[in-house]
Amino acid sequence: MRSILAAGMITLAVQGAAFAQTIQIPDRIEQLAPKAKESVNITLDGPLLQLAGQFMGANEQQVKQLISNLKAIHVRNFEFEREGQFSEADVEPLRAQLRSGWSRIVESRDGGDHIEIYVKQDRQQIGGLVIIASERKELSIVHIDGPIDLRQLSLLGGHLGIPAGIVPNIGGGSSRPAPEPRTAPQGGGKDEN
Amino acid sequence: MKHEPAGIDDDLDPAVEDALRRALRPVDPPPGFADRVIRRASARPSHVTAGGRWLARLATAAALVAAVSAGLWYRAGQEERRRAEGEAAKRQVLLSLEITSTRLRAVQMKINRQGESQQ
Repeated sequence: MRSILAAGMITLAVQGAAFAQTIQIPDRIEQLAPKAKESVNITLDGPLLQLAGQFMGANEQQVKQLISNLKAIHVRNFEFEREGQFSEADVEPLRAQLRSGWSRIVESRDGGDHIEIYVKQDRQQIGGLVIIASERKELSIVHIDGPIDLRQLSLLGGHLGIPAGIVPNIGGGSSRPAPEPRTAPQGGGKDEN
Repeated sequence: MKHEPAGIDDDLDPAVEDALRRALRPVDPPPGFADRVIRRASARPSHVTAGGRWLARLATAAALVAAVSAGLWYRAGQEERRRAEGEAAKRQVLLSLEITSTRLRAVQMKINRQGESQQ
């Protein structure tokens, strides 16, 4: 009986840990859509990504390979008419989720622009990528769930406008590491704002 | 071959009883009746079968054509839906990567600017 209980508790703990790694786009972010002048709401799960991969043309094979192992892609992009339509508090629930198991590898502030890049380490590779980019009238949230080869992403430079050389030196990549003016400490992702 | 109806109630009026006996007495069929019945029975089915078979074949073929057409139509619709979903998913993937790349490019430009100013 004890062993059954212990096994159950371990299962719950493992599931809980796995759940904790799953990023949910907070309701506060979703509720920004009606205020926005333009919004993009993309949620692609595994089967849809596989389906999309089947429709990639000959010149999109790199993209196909890039998305082949992904579990999901979530993108929320809002363009507002005026400033002040969203605040840091709207993004805070997302940042809170990223405090555990994620590392903020880049943070850049320039005037009203604030861009953060988080990655999740999964064994020896990157298991996920989150970009939070806020400008005065624009907010973008990108969550790529699953093993993503940032070197491969950089190879897409020229195809989708993805710049080569942006890839941070993570996961044993050979690409040029980007200098980081305000890199947050690794491993904790503590918000320093 | 004559048969008498039996079991008529004793209380019945004799006149009624007689009338009943006359009415219910077995009557032999007219001569040739059996032959005529057999002839008709054998003639009618052959006439029905000729038209019926043709109609049955036509109905079967029509049902088959309808079933195959419906199947093909359904499959074509499914394929079309799947293709539309796939194309939409592909556009969304490309848009997602475009937004991602735009953001990454913005970071890189800032990094490069700051790197240059430090030099």
